[in-house]
Amino acid sequence: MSRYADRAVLAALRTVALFAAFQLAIAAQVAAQSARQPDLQAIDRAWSDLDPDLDPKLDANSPRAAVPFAPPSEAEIPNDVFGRTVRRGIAIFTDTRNEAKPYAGDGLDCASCHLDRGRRPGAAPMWAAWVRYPRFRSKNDAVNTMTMRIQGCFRFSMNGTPPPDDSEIMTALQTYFYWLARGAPTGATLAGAGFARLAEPKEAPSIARGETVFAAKCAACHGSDGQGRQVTGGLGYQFPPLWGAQSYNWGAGMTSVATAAAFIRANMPYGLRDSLTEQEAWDVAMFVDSHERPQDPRFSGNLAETRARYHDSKWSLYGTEQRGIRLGDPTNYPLPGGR
Amino acid sequence: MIIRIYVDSDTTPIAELAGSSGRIKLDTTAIPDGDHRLRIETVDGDRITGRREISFTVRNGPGIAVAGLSNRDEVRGKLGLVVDATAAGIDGELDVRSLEVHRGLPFWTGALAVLIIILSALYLAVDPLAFRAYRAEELALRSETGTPLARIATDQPANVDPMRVSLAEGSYLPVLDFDAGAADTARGAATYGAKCAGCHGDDGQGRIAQSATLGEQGIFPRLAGQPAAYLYRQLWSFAHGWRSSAAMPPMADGLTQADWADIAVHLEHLTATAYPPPPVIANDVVELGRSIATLGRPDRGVSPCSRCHGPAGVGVAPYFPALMGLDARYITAQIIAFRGGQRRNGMLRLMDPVSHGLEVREIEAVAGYFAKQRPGAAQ
Repeated sequence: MSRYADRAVLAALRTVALFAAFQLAIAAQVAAQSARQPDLQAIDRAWSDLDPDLDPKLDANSPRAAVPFAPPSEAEIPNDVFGRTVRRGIAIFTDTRNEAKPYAGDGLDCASCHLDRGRRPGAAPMWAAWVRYPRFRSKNDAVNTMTMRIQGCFRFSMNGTPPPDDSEIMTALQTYFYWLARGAPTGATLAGAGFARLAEPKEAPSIARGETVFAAKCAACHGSDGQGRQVTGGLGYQFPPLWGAQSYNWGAGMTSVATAAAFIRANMPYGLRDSLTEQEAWDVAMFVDSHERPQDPRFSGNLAETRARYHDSKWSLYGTEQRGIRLGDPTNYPLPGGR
Repeated sequence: MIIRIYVDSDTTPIAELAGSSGRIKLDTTAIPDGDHRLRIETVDGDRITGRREISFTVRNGPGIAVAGLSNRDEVRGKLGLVVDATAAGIDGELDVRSLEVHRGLPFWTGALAVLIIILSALYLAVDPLAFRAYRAEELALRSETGTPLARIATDQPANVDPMRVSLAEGSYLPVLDFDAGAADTARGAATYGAKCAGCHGDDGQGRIAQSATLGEQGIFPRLAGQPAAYLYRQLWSFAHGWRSSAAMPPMADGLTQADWADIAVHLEHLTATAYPPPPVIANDVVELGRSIATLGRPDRGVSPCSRCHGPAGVGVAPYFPALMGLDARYITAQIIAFRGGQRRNGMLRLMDPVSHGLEVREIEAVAGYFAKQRPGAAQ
């Protein structure tokens, strides 16, 4: 009898030991993950171009013919681990605020700019972006990766914290992009990649004209105060806020009027193709980007210096005074940490 | 010492071993099937010094199965039994069929069969009906001569591409000034009760009923909980010809703009109004509707409905109405009206490309999908 009791005790001990070992292994993994913090300087360097998606050498209008490509239908997502990860990526992409909560910092989701779940040509679709990374860029003399690019989006466009390289968020998002781009050629420019750059406007963009366009054709959805609309019950923003605390910060590519105009001309108002003229797009982009928004996380402490370093373009209103407000003044939206 | 081995109560041993141990062979074919005993005795001289008995059962013949009677059953009257002894003996060939023991089926198999029959009957009774209703609606949407929907009379000039909305001034109804704060909900409730509740229901729940003013069967949509600015815009549109309707323009005309605002704000607050039971719609239709609602048909310029109307059509104040729980026929009729130009008051004419880019069956599917949605969870 006592022999069996001994055996039972041994078995129980072994189970407990195994369980403890598992827990330790998981804890170690978590610790290792949190120890690998993203390299903010590398992310910033990779982001340093104001119009990264308007690279003229990769522009759709360049002599190199753009290759047509269509992403697969979502009905084709397989029902296995891969497919589950793709679906998780879609969930994060479309509801970043809630699904990637610790990292998202404002009212925007990935799909706020990358429309139709990152599928729409002309709205920086992810199938086109996937085959453009990793790539060498002379801007920072380095191979820039998709991971760094996504981290840049979290840091600037979503005014949040970059998720670590090996986080579940990063894995799911990139698995989704990989699935979208299956069969797409690398090294080529796909038709519909990035935002289609507009020619210089005939008349200098006017904030006043832009305000009129905004009131007539944008305010219905984004609100006359540009603060977007939330679904009753506060699930999230149905129409994204365009400026202010819940919108993209001064480091985002969309703060370039040229980028915003290209995006607006091709995609807004959502669902109405070609309903704005190019001049209207420039004007309304100028109006949107003439509002104050959260500080550029790269802010050095000196507005003029930060502008010279990161915003030295006629298409950035950072550091200028608009309607009595000095855009980017550190007292408007102080960075966390008191800089 | 001698060991003698007997079977049952025989007096002649079947084997005798000299010494204290040895081997014997027991031929079970020599004894009849059934229960037996093996008796082993050790003998020293004439004296029996030890005895051991072992019970065993011989079964060389077929197994015998009986259905209808088990051990210790309590029985009465005449009893029908099935006896099966067809299994082969040890030397015969294996007869697979005879291995199947004839027994009564357990109770649950019968219950399961009954359940399957009931479910099949329910499916046959309910689903084809829903399907037939859909066919009937689709047919109703075509004119008597069978003209496809795409050629339904439209107020728009033929040379205008409906998929490219120009938003020229005057071609769309802009955002209207509407001050919800100035509205008087108590007065709104009273006016609503007097003028609107007869058709749209006391709590704005909507009805399918005889119209009081027209004497016709009509679909009166659910208004409860709809955004006030949206409702105000509709009344304004009925009065100013941006939306056609048999019943509504005179109703709106008979009220002041202040009445419209009061009623709109009153209705917006009626969020607790119960929904009707969700309609029964075939699954593949709902799935098609869900796909259009959530993904749209980008290749045809059709935006996903949920982009403006919110997840599951919950509605996005102030301008995009809830589609959740509306009558499917009402939703269908509205999309057709956007297409035909009888309704031109959509925000920025966003419904123009949608209504022209969808096929009839897709419009019905998406209407069915939204009719089925209820607050809380997307179905």
